[in-house]
Amino acid sequence: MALGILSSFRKPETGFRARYETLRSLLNRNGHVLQLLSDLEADLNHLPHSDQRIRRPVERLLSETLLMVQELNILAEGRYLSLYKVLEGIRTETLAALHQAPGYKNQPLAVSLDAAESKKPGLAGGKAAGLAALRRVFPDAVPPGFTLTTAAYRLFLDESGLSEKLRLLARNLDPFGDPARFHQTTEAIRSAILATEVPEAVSRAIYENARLLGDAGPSGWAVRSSATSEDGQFSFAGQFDTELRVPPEKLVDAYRAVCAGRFTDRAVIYRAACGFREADTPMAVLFMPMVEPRAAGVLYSMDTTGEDRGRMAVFAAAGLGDAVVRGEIRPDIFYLARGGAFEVLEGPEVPHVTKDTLSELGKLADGAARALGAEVEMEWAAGRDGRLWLLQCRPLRPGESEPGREGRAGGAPPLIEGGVTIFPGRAEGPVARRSGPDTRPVPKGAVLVVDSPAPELAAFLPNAAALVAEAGGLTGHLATLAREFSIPSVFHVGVTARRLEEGMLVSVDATKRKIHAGSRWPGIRERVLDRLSRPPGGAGKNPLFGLVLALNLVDPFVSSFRPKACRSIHDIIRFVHEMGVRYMFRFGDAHSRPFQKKTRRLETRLPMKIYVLDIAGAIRTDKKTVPPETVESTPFQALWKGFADPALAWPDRWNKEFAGMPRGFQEEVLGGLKGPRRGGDPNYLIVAPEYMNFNARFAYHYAMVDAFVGPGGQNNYVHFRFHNGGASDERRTLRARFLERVLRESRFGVDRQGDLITAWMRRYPQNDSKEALAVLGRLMVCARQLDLLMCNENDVAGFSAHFMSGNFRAFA
Amino acid sequence: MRKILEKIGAKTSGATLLDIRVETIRFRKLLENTRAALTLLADGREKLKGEYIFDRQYALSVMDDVLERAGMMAFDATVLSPGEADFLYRLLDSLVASGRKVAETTPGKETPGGMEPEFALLSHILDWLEGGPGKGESLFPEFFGEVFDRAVPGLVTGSCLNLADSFLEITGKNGPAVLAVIDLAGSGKKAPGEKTACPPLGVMLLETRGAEDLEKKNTGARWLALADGAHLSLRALDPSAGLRMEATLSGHEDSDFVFTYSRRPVFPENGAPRDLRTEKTRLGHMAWMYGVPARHIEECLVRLGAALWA
Amino acid sequence: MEKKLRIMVIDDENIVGKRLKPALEKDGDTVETFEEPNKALERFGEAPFDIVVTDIRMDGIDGLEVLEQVLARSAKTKVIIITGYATVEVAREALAKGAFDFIAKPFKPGDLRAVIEKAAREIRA
Repeated sequence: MALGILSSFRKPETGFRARYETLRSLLNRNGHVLQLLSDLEADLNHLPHSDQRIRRPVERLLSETLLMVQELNILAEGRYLSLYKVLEGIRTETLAALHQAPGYKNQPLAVSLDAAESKKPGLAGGKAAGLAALRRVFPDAVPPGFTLTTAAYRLFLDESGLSEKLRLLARNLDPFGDPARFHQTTEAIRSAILATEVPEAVSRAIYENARLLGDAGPSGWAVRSSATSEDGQFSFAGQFDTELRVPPEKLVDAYRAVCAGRFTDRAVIYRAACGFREADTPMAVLFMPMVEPRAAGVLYSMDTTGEDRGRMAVFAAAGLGDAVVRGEIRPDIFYLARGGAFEVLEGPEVPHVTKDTLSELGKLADGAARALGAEVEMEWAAGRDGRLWLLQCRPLRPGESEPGREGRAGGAPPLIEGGVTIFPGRAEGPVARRSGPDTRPVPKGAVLVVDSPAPELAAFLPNAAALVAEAGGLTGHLATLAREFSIPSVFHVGVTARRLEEGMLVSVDATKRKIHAGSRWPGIRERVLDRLSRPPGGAGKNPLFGLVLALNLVDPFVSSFRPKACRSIHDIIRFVHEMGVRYMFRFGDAHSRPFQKKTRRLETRLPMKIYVLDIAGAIRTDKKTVPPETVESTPFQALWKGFADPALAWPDRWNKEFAGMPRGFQEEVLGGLKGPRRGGDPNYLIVAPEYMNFNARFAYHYAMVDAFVGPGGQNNYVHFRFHNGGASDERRTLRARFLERVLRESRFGVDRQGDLITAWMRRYPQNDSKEALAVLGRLMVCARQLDLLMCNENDVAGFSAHFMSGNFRAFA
Repeated sequence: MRKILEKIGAKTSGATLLDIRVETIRFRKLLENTRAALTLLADGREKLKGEYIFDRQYALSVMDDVLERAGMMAFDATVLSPGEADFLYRLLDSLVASGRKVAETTPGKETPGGMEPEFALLSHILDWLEGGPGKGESLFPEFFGEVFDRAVPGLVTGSCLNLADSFLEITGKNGPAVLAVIDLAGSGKKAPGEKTACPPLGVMLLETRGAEDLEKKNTGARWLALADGAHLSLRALDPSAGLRMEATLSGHEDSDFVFTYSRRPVFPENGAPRDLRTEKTRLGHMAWMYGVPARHIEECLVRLGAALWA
Repeated sequence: MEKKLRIMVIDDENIVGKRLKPALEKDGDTVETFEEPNKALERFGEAPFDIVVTDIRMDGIDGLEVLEQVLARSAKTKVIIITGYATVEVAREALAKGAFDFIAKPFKPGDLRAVIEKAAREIRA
């Protein structure tokens, strides 16, 4: 009788072969589960976790990981039995998370604004839920309407096969690294949606509900998005398209167009910037009869400009409110009393809004604020018949009122004074100037300076310490977003904003509308950076990310690399892989070295010590040192071809770098005994005729190549992982972005988390896989100390171009 | 060795729930790899019917992939029965070597009946893999049988009765049969009266004369049932019966299946449910069914239950 | 009567061309098959096609390059990619670069015809 676990204690009587097969199985499984993980990550963006396409791979990951743990324990003779318990804990939690999620199949495709289901933001979207609540309080002031639910959207994606296409296209989108490719891809997504037929059930739901509401009138319908997080904590204000004046026969086209609007560049960037996944924000689409207003605008039930909070502010312009909402035109501003008859305290005389209309509006806003239990910001419209409509209503987030402490007493006069406070508070940092189409990322903690507050700029907000706009006013989407992100912001400062030059350090006091040169408030920068480094709203929401996908064990050479530190399936996989390879070499275990005689040293002039273990007849000599060219392993030969490419000429560089340095200094540079592996430390290579695994440590960074390359294409894969470096965080990230870009251009699938790069290429024919390995070889050498050479964003593109064109001298 | 076990709080006598779960998943892995190999053969046959467009690369990949799966089957079997490793790897090596040789001896331009060369190559490869009279010497069917003949005896049997969540007494023509049930899906501890939900087991009991919960009293259990949601693993505790059954009944055609391995055939000749494929190995009999609608699987399970217990 | 389409098939083993050409021509469309991508592109330069079906892996020029060159010359042309290895990476690359759709080998001629018909519908719409 042999028990699952107890069998791990058997002496490996069948010797080397059984060991080899165990490692091979473990490595094979490792490749398979990494693929499951990357597919799952992509799918979690699009699918709720009730979906079979999420549940089944998760269940599969759990059992595959269990088998990997068993295989590690066979290799390590039961040293990691505690992993079973760790995995069991993660399994229990993961299954619980999976079973909480409801499916969408039994949910309605369309709901009327008056139906109880409209209150559910997860079904009808945030905007519809807000309007439904409002309509219950003011049945006469909110137009009727209906919503095509998130269930309809999922049905649209699933039935038409769009899900698959989106899944392929939308993963790996990198708006900043490669804007052209990014734009090309979002365009492909939009045209795929526009070219897809809406399922019959969905179009029937649209027409039936439109008919139920009767004739929409001569102006037709307004069709707009109601994403689930809209009007909640994150408003998505202005991020999705709206279709106006839609005739009844075009309603389905409009639906499709609004769905496609979810994938405009700015909407995708916005979601990425806020940390939202596609699946967290499924689409609901709101249909309402078009209101043709004489005037429209925005009302704040409390004026947050910081001057007088005891009044309301109303912004109004003739015609549709769009231009006001987009921040494009400067509206008329009125201030109203916050009680009594809500009389107009201040404001111009204009033909399109009367004082009576304004007072009535004030009354409505007061009612809405009471009903929601919060100050509100609402979009309104006044019809030609004088009737008032509320088109959108959300709680206002007034800024915390900081006492107006002066920093250093006296000092130089401010560089700039004036403008409108959008969100109060103080911050300081280097200036980053951006305009609409400029998608260069903004460094964390920068003071973002823009000409006009276009919604496209929303993508930069998560990194901005403060926001300054030359034009713009209180209304507009960017203003709403700045409040959402609680970013101290001053708009409408005028041309003086041009005094703020790129990179210049400034201090912004948004409460007092003053901008000073230099640093004024010591310590505030750290507080701002701390706020920015907290994870954004969406990412943390789905427990599956933490339990399954998150990789916490990154560096295998630190003491926390232990079974107990594994918090996710990914961690366990990482741990098992690393330890499986180590146990095959038996390093760190002086007592039993059954395979030591099998371990040889690779003969090379490169300044690295490489131990090689042949697991299936790739080396046909008994000598202790093996010349690389005699190793009969297809993938290794391919990698080595790149690695030892004479064009790289790296031995010279290495010697140059260390020539004349005292030994102690070298030691220090490389981290000493407790630090990363030193130059003289061994690196490990496992080879078989069609397989190789290479674990390498260069100075401060860690690289792993794992590849199977045989004559057929089906089983071939090349995996690459790269992590860590000695330079500052920013430079490491630059290097990681360089790697990401080069790898993508070389056809790898790439995932980058900070400065951890995971890349894969699967099921490519032999020649492509070999070429990919040669690229990896060259890349590992070129990237070795690239972090020290890279200074700014332009270097990412620059070095990528050098690498791709074979100009390796640039890396010397 | 005991120290390590004690350190993590494991029992040193008998199997633990974890042992059983790991072993069950490993055995299912073996079945999955077997199924994948058989599916590759069936897909290849389908492609040969003439409706498909493929190239030489595809034909060669069928051989590669089947051999790759064979390697995985051998490994799974040796994890279950470590003592069989030497034998199974020797067999695997000769299988792989001769398979590679077959793939290299490509039919030339002269192909029988003017067949397209990629069709001739695929047909040549499939004939060899499937073996049988007139189709050339193949080790694959032999390998296939040996893997199960050698893996099945390694499985846990009686040592885990103390872990049983309940004992069921099934009434049949030939007297009662007692079934020890272990719930692998739950945390192990069940509220009194709480039933283990396992659709395949429920279906197997349909044509018996009823089953009674003995309320944890073990009165000579002869069967062990490991229930894991939609999965059921059933073993006869009497080694001479040598019966193992695995089944999944989830409603998803691509994962549902029934597999049995036994010393004697479970069903009489000509009396097996439709779609059930059978194979005689050196030591026993295998039967399996997959890729069919759920009701066929259900029907097969009802018949199995009846054959074993009614 | 529907406009007849010009369809180009590029496949270095010419298995696709041989098996598909008769079926497509039965509908009255014009089908030209090429085993060398270079010659196909040359021909495309002389007279553009409505639909191009190309294998992804060929000696010399690969399918993605064909895709790029075809779309550069005629943006309206629908390009359908045949992948031999069913990799999502290649498929994504092709879709992102503007391919109309892709199909993985082995497939039935009917499957490819369905994709071609879908493309034809869009051309005629």
